[in-house]
Amino acid sequence: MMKRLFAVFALLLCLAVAGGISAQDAQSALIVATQLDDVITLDPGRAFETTNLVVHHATYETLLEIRPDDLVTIQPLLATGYTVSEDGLTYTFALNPDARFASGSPVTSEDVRFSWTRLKNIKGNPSFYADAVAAIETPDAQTVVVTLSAATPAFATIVTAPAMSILEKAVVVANGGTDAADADASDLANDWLSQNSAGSGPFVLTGWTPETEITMVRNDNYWRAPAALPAVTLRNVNDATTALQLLERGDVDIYENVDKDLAEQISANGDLKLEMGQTLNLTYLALSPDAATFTTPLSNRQVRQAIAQAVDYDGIIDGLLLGYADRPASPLPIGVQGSDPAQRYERDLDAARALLAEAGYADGFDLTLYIGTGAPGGIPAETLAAKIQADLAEIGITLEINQQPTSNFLTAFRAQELPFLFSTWTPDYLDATMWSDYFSFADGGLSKRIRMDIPEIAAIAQQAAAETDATARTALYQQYQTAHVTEAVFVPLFQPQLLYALRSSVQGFSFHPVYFLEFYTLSKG
Amino acid sequence: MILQFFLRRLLFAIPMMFGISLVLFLLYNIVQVDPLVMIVGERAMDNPEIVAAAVQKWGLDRPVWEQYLTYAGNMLHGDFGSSFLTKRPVLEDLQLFLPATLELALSSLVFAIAIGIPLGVIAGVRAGGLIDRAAWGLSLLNASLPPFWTGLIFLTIFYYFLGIAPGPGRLDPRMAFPPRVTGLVTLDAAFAGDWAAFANALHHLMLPTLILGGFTLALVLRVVRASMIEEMRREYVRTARSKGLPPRAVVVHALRNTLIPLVTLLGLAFAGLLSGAVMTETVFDWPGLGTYLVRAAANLDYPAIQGGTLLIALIYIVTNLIVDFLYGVLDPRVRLA
Repeated sequence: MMKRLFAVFALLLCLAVAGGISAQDAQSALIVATQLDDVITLDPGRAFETTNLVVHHATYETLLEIRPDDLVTIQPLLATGYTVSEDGLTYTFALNPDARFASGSPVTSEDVRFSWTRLKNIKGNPSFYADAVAAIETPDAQTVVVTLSAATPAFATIVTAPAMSILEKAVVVANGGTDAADADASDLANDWLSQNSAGSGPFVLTGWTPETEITMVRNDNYWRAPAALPAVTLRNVNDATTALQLLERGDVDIYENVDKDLAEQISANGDLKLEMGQTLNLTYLALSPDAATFTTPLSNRQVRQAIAQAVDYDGIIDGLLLGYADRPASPLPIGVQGSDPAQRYERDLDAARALLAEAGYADGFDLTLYIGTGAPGGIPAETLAAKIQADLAEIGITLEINQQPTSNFLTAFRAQELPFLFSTWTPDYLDATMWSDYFSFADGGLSKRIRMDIPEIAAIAQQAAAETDATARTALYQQYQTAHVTEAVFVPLFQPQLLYALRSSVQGFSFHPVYFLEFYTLSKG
Repeated sequence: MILQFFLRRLLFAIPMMFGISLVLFLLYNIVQVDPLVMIVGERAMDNPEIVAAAVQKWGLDRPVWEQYLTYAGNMLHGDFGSSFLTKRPVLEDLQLFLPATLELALSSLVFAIAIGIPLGVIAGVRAGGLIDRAAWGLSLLNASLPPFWTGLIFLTIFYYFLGIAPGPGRLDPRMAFPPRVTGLVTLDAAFAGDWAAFANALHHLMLPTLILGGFTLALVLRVVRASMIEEMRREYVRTARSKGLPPRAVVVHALRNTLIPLVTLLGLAFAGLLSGAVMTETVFDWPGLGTYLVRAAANLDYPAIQGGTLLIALIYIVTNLIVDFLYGVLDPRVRLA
C-alpha cells in the first residue's frame, strides 16, 4: 500500500518537473506583470477602476482620441471630425465609413447612440461621463447629433475617455444588453462583457480570471493596420521582487508600476530598459479658508501661505519618491492648459516665520492633519504625514496626525468636517475642467468639501470652462493658477511618475495619463 | 444509524451558523463604516441620483435589525448577498476563489501525509537515530520560519537562480488555462485532455505545496513519532515481538494505534490549510480564499467577510464531523453516540 502510494507520488513529481520544460507556446504574445485586484467588471458601461482603462483602450475605440505624444490636440478616430453649434449645445459627429467592429460590421450612428444611452441609463460609476448628454439623434448611419443640457466646451475631450467607447449594439443586445431607461436593472450584459469585447479596437478580449489574468488577442478584422502583437496577457503579480524576477527570466515582457526602489537595479541590467510615464495625478494639501465653521488659524491667508512655504517639497520628492515626481504650482498639473511650475511655492522658512508673525502667530499653534490609510504616489500616508509634521514644526506649528480608514476619511471629507488634510486627484479625461470644475466652487467638488468660498477663483473657473477660443482659454487658466497660488488653499505636494520595466526586445512604448499603456503601437523584436 | 448521526450533527450546525453571522453583523455595525463609497465609487458620490439608487438597491436605508433579518432570511435560501466590492453574489465569489485554495490544501495534505508518516514511523522506531534527529531539525525549521519569507527565498533559489521551479501563479504566463469545470486547474486540464497544462499546473503546485505542506508535515511527523515511541513501549508490542513477529509487522501493528491522534490532527490541519494560507497565496499569486478574505476585510466588504467566515466555519464543522466518523471506523470502541 505504502509502496504504491510512493510510486504514484514519484510519478506525479516527474510529471511536474517535466511540465516546466514543455511550456513554450505563445512566445510572441506580450505578457504584462501588473496588479489586477482592482478589476470588478470589464463592461465599459460599468467599470470605473484603473486596470479596465488599458483593456478598454485596446479593445474599444472612441469617436475622438488624444494621442500620448500630444496631450492637447484632439484627433479623429471613429469620427472623421465634428462641428459645434454657435450656442455650444449641439455636437455633430461624422463617422468614418471605413470603421468596422471586430465582427466585421460597420460602426454606425445607432451604435454610438446605443453605447452612450446605455452608459447613462445603467446609472453606474462611470455614468457621469454622459451627464451632459440630453439627446442623441441619428439622421443617417454616418451622422450623430448630440444635444447637451448645458454648454460643455470639454465635451470633445470627454468623448475621448475609454468609458465613452462605442460598443456594437447587435452583439451587446444579443448578450442581454439594453439602453432602456431602466437599464440599471434590465441590462444583463455585464457578465458577457467582462469576458468578451464588442468593440472596434485593435484587440479582442478573450477572457478574465479574477486576480489571475486578462487575455486579449489581435483583432484580425481591424479596420486600420493590424497590431504587431498577436496577443496580450495581463498577469497578476503581487510582489515587486517576484515581478522583477519574472521579467529578468523573460517570463513576462513588461513589469508595470515598478517599485521605485528597484529602478536602479533595472537600469543596470542590459537585458532590460526603464521607461517613465508622467501622470497627471495630483497629491495635494488642502487648507480650508473657512472661518464660519472651522476655528483654525487656516482661515488667515498668510497662515496658509506660511504653511505652503514651510513644506520641504524637495525632501518629499527626492527622499520619499526617489526623484520620480514633478510638482505643479496649482491644482492644474504640469501638462494641462495654463499650468506653469515657475509659480510654485518653494521652501523658505524665514519668509514662512515672518508671515506667521504678521498673522499674529509668532509662537505657532496646534493643528490637526487628517489623512486616510492609502499610499499616495507609493508613499504610505502616515510617512508623508510625519514628514509634513516635521516640516511644520520648524515654524512652530505643532501637528497632530489623525489617521482613519480611507472610507471613513473620505466620508468625513465629503461631509465637510475636515479643515486640513491631504488627498489625491486623478483625471478621467484631459480637459482643464477636469481640475477647475472640482477645485473652484463653493457648491461642488473638492472645494465644497473643505468649505472654500472664494468668488474670484470661482468666477475665473466659470469663465475659462465656457471659453471656446484656445488662446483666451489658456490665458484664463494662467489667471486661475495665479489666484490659486495666492490663496494657498490647495497646495500641490507632487505629481508622481509611473515606472515601467521592459525587456529590451519590446519596442514602441508610449504612456498616456488616462489609459497608461497602448498595446497597438507595441512590438516585440 | 450513521445517517442519523450525520443529520443530527448537521442540524446542530445551523444555529451555530446563525450565531456566528449575528456576532459578525454586530461587530460590523460597531465599526461604523459607510459602505456607500465602496459601492458607488468616489466620483459618483457627488451624483445624488446614483447614490440614492445604490442606497435603495443595497438596502442601506433600512434599520440595522431589518438588514440583519433580511440577511438571515436570505441565508436560509442559500443567498449570501452580494459583495460590495466585486458586486458579484458572495456565493459566486466563493466558488471562484475556493477551488484554488482547495487544490493547494489537498496537495499539501497529500504531501504531508506521504512524507510525514513514514518519516515519523522511522523517527519513532529508531528514536535518537540519525533520521530522527534530521527530521526533528527539519520540523523545527518548518514550524518556525514564516511562509512568506520561505516562499520568497524558495522562489529566488529554485525559480530565479536554478530555474527548476516555475514562477508564481497557477500556470506559466504563456500557457492558456483549461476550460473551467471544477476550478482545480490540474483536474480541469485532465478533463480537457490538456496534458501540457496538467503537468505545468502540477509543477506550479510544487513550491507552494512544499511551503504550505511543510508546516503540516512537521506536525504529522511529531505526532506520529511521539505516538510510535509510546506504542512501541506497550505490552502488546512486547508480546508481538516475543512471539517472533517480524519487526515490520510489529511496526504496522503499532502504526494502526497512532492513527487516532493523527486523524484528529489532520482534520484540524486540513481546515487550517483551507482558511489560513493567506501568506503563501500572496507570495505565489495564488487567487484563493485567503486572498479574497484579506481584501474583503481591508475594504470592510461586509457581505464578503460574512460569507467567507461562514464558509470557514462550515469547513471546520464538516471536518470535525468527518473526524468523529473516522474515529468510529478506526476504533470500534468509540460509539456513534
